[in-house]
Amino acid sequence: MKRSIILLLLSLLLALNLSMNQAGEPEASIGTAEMMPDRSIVVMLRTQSADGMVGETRLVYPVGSIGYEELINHLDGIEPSQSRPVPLWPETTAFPDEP
Amino acid sequence: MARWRIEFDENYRSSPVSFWVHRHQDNDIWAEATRFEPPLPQAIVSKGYPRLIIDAFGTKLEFSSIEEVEHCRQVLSQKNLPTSRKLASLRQSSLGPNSHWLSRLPADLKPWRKREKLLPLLDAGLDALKVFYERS
Repeated sequence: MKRSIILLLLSLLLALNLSMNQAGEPEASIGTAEMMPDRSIVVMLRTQSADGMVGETRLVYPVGSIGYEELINHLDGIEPSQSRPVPLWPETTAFPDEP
Repeated sequence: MARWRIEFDENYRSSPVSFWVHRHQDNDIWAEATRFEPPLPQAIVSKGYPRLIIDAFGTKLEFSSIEEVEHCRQVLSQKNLPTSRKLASLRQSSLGPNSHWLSRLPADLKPWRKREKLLPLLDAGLDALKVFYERS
């Protein structure tokens, strides 16, 4: 069974080193999510390395797609035309390996 | 600012590098071929075809597969760049060196001092692309 796309995203961020703030701690937000009028969600994830290199990934979650409900729960709800920061998933502090 | 980005497309889109990396096997016309070596990338389930876009000091470089990034990295990491003529001849196609991606690369990106700054961007984007494929 395919892994959740969200875990995949977290893997991506970890592979690229999580964004750090100036104190060297992980940023509380790893990007932004916006719900479109058709209720699809556009997520822009952002990571920045210590030397200033910025990496971004744009993902679109149509209604009913893998990870869609999980993402809404993680965002603590989102409605059309709303934009929200994407918080770190709690488990990313000790990221899970492949199941 | 040094920047890379991954976007997903519903349908496969070739890049300026695709022809030079993915050799068509079963048709004289690249765009109409169905078999390539190496094969064209597969779509990632529920997301589509990833494209890596590198902002290289104001120039946008696009890649549609891991093999394309690896190929460009291999070429650009040579301190003495090979000529477009040499690279085009290796492809053994009817297209000449003026059509080669290296020939189309802006001249201000070709000095080694620029390329050595570009390589870490390619590496970071390549790592991200690989993660998507490995974890899907």
